[in-house]
Amino acid sequence: MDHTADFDEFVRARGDALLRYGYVLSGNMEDAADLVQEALARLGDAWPRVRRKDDPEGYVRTTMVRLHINAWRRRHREDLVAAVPENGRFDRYDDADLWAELRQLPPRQRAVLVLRYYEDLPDDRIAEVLGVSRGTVRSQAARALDKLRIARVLQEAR
Amino acid sequence: MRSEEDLIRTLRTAAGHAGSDGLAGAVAARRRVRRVRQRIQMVLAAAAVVVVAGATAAVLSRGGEQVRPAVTVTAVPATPTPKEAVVKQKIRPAAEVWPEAVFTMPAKSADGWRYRPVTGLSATEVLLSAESSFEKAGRLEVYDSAAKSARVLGDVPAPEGVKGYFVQDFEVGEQHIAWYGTTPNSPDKWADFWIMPRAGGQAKRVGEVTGPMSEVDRIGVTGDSVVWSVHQGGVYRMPLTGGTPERVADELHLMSWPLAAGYADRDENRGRRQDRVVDLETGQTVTVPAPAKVTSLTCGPVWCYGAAGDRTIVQRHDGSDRKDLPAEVRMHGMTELLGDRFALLTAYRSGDPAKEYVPLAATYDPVTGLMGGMSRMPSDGGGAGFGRGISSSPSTIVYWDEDVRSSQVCTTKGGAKVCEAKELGGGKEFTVVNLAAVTAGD
Repeated sequence: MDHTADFDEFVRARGDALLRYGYVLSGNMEDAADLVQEALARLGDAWPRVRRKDDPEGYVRTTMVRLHINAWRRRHREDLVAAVPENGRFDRYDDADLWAELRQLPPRQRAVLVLRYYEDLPDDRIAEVLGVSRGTVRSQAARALDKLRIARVLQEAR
Repeated sequence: MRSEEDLIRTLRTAAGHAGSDGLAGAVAARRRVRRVRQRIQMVLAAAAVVVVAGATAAVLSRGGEQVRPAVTVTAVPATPTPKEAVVKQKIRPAAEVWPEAVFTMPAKSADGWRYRPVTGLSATEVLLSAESSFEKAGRLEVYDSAAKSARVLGDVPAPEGVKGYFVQDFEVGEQHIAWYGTTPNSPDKWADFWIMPRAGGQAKRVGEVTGPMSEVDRIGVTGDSVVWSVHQGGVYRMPLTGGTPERVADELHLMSWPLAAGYADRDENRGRRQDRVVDLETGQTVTVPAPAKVTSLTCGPVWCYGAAGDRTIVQRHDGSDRKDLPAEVRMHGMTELLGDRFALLTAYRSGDPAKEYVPLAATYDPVTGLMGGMSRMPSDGGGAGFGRGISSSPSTIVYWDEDVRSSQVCTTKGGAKVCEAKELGGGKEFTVVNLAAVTAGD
């Protein structure tokens, strides 16, 4: 079996979606591209095992969120405001503001929001991905939502 | 106070920005030298093929400096599969596809107020909100693209004694134009409703509401009432003469009066998906079916759009005439519908903007199968934009300023590099696509 062809096909099919995920996670295209490429490189190394045992997309997304929280943390402190050349493309001005504020959140809080509201994962799955307790997920989410002045309606229902 | 829906929409809209023009800039900005093993290099090259899709030349020039992207596109498989070849289909500018629908108009009124298009009133008329300062609506006007002139309908006043008041969406009814305003920066939940005769005249304040009822997501106006739905779901009505609001329906969200839509229960695999369309005048309900893999299904007055993996589908409310949209487009963020049957779509990068037309967005007509590109990716590596009309019902308008450019300006403060996007030029003229002109003959 030609693993390489198989893996390339995965990259072709999912690269764009992964890049979008990286963008909402990291808040800028440069880091999004970094996250996707580093996570794909790691997936490539683990490909024969991952492909056989579990879902490669899940593997890559989990790798991306962990990279985002750990390795990327330090650099974000120095480079807080990266360019968003597409700023004007939010159809509502409030959304551009919200996006800007999201980008200021600590990586872990931001990751919790992305997993919950973009990936639509339940809190116990988020806890698994981040390697923390469900209570931590809830408290991080609550703190982030409060910072962003977002009413916790769905959160209370979870 | 914002809602979780605002967060979801913002994240999805932002995600929509990523695949298109964002990456070219990112690749250009990527100057860090990576420690890359040979094997990974091959992998990254494959990734680059997907995300860059041939959009950027291998070497980009910025400010006279040669910037080599961290990944090169040289490792593309020599024989592309038919699937890849599909992405090469070109999107033509809307002005070529629907010449009757595209025109230019001044971006400002004679007295210098900035126009913000609301929606098409007819094939040649566009309702405009004129703003004295940013987001401060002060006047409604109509621009006639045939006569090439604007006329004033009336003033949009702010209620007395209300601080931080902002007019939100406008809605065009048969006899009236209605709108609502809120105080978005205040923690109090509050909104008020206004109407103006469609032919123009004095604005009249219908009434105000507080609490959950004031968290308006869309409005409509009938012969005798203002109708609105709220973020949490539920439709209300208030007589045009004022008075106590009345709850008209539970759970539903107004789409375009008299139609409202309901959402399926949250399902972690399928996103937020509409599953029924209700005519609030007749009570008729259409159950909207969708294939299992379809997420974020959103319905307009006749057609529904949804995401199926990286493809987008369109179907009628009852699921008939379902088809895949061309592979080179996908939904723009949360589904943004336009007019009766169009949706705002993001175009995958498909070419070199220095050599050919590359749109920033596109719209597709499920009736004719035609697709037109909106705005243009600049050839100089900077950013560009587009806007959508601000009506509550799906607007027929997409517009942009051809002369405006955004570019990244970076400064170093205390050892940290700080970059921000600056807009330059523009402000004189809008290019407007009024999709009401496409459907006018139907």
